[in-house]
Amino acid sequence: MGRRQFALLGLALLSPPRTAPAQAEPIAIFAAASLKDAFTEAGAVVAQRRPGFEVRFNFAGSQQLALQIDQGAEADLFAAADDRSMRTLGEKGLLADPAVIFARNRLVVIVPAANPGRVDRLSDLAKTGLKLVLAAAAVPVGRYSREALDRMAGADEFGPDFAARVLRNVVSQEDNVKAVVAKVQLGEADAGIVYVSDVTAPVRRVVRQLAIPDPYNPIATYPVAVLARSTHKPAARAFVDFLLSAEGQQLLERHGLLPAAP
Amino acid sequence: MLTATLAKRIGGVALAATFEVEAGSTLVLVGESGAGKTTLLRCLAGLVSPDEGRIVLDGRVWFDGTAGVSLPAWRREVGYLAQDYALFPHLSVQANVGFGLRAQGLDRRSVRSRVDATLERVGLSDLASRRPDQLSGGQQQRAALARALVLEPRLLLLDEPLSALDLQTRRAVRGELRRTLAGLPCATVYVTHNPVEAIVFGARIAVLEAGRISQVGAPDELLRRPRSPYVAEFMGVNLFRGTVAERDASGLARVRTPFGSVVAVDPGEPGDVLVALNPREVTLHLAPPAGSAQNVFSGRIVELVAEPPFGERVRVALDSTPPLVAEVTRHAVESLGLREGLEVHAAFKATGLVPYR
Amino acid sequence: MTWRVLLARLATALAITLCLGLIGLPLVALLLRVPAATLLVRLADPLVLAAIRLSLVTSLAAAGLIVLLGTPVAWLLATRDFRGKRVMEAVIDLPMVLPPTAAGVGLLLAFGRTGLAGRALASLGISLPFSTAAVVMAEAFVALPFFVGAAAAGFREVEPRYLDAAATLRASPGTTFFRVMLPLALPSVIAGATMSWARALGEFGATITFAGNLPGVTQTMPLAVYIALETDLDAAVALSVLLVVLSLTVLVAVRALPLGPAGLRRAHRDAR
Repeated sequence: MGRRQFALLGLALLSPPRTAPAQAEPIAIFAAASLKDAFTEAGAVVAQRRPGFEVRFNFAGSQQLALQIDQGAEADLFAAADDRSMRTLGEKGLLADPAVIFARNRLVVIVPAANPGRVDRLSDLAKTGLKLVLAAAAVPVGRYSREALDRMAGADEFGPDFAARVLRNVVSQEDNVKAVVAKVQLGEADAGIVYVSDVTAPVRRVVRQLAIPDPYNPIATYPVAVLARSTHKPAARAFVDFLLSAEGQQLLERHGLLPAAP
Repeated sequence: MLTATLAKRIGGVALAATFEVEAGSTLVLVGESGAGKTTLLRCLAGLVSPDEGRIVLDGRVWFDGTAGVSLPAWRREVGYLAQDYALFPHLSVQANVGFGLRAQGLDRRSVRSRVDATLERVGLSDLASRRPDQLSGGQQQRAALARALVLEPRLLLLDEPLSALDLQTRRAVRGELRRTLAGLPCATVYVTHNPVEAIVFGARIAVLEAGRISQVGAPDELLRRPRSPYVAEFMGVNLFRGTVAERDASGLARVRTPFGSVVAVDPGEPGDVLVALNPREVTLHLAPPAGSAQNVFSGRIVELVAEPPFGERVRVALDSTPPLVAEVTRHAVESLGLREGLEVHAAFKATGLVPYR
Repeated sequence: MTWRVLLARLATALAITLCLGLIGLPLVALLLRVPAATLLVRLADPLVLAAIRLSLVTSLAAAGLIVLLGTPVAWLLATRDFRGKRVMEAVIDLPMVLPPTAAGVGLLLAFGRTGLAGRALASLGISLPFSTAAVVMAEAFVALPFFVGAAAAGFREVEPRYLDAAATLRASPGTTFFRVMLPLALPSVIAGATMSWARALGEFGATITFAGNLPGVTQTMPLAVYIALETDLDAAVALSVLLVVLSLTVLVAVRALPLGPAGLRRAHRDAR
């Protein structure tokens, strides 16, 4: 190829692509890791209904996403697993509309199917030498887990030092809930505390669940908000509307989440 | 006493040699580069294994192809002086010389005393703590030799030990080295491509041509009876190969060579013979000489080479048939006005030429 | 000066500027963000101290393990030819191209409780995941090729004539290695050890996947920075600066000291 042709090719490659048709609405949704399966399906449904709707997801720990948005990451919608991350953004005026609770979640204890730690009851979590994996305290589910333990410690059946004894068994503080699930799935951890919604079909095949009764189970509330800097607010709002609709709530329930209203 | 038979194919050379070296004597090994000299040395040292053969030193079997014995170098009591000395750059002269003793596990104090004594003997005591790069060529050679000799090897191998030195240093070191080697109890193999060194150092000279020993003997023997053109060239002697043709009553015979006939002493029997002619026996004349010389050839002077050290004697190469080399005095060159291209006549007597087979 | 030469010079200058900018700007940004006073306050935080101590202990242990295990391998690759040598070299280099998190998963599947070798270890009562030993293993895994590569190159450069000389001086292969080959290759060996230590110090993905994240046990500096980033940006910056200062100090020191690679190279060069 001659030098001239090379230059022309280079120019052709460097010039910006032609703009997409005017109706295209690509939006970026930052959502808590526990919402991965539910949101992926929801995104597909909305895309079917709304021509030009394209969505790009970023799933991670809510605290991490809040930080990224704060530092200027381009996002149109933020769905968190707790109020705290959302509140910080609200205080900084980064929300377009006030946040709305669209779902709730509960905690559950999971153990590998083989149950190497022989955890059959919640009180077994305090057994010495147990390998327990929790999310780090900065992660919403990590905070909720510790709250649940505190509630249990307040009950006679577990004893006042229950939370302390259980926390002593923590061998790793993961930075998102999916990592906790992974460690239990792989059989490395004896037990982990995750959301009910995290026990999806493939996970169910290799783990056993221990329910945490209502009195001890903090209900996680999931707020969602359109972000002030978004340039596709209509599309983002459309997604929120879907989440809050009856159909959307059913979809969320199918993925293990609880409806927005108790 | 070293007895060696070995064969090795390496590169393009097929080395196959058998020889012996008595304890206390030196065998000089000469040959062109690529003839296999270094390979042979490395086989003796144990740095490389022959394809087959047997190497025995003082009754110890160092290598036996059929018996599967092959002692690595570090298990042989060998001393090796490489062409570039290979003094360890990260060690002082002292540490270099003591290296082998330390490798054998000798304690520091004994090593120290033996090294000091050796350095004293070779005159390097003042340089004991210097690094090799701070020594002159001659000093490095002495240090490397001391390093090998302090281990009292049974076989000493020297690979062109003087070739890395400049001419002046070489002459100075040569005498010293000869004296050192003469006093050693071990068998020594000395590799060189320099004929003067060969004669100075060797009780016997072995000539390696294309991997094979073409001739081995005392320097005198090689001088008077070279067996191949290379040996003749190396020793600086004219060699004719031919067949005995006419034999006459006066005890002389004509030897027919591809290049012409030479009159020599009658060998007594017909057949193929070799005739060696020392260049000093050849006289040069501007006109065809009268006189009793039976052999006269004419030709143009191709080259005039003054012999070191002072050019008192000059070698004159002629393009006669057969080609001849004569050795004359500088005075003769001047008085005859010899120069390249000049047509001259060379003459030599038959009585000094004794054919051999 | 022709315009072509000028153009070449400009292009070179631009490349250098971009290169230094890419590396330098983040460093400068980090240093500007944290005032020196708060840095010392942060150092007093027990969590920070634990992370520093853990990082130093594990990275040095990993480097030690690497040198111990890697030297014979480097020697083999440098001095011997054998069937499968290329495969062996590729395997040793693998951790350099493998994403660290993938390496962590691999380590889990191999040495985890239900892993290939982990099962045997568990029956012996040894459990690696979530332990400090696992951190050392993860760090050693990712950093090994840096050492082996440099050390093997150093050994290869040692001229055979010195090794031959040693052999003729009654030195067994072991003696030859320790008295001749290693000293002559020392600059490269030290450089390799330093590089692998630096890589071990900065290791994150394999550590958090295989060893987990627990302050005082497995939370090394890089992990601490990552976790801190999610809640306290200033803490993360402070920790990052500490890491940078620590690494820079060692890297500069190794280059400046006479026993370091540059010093030894100078000494050897003068000795030629």
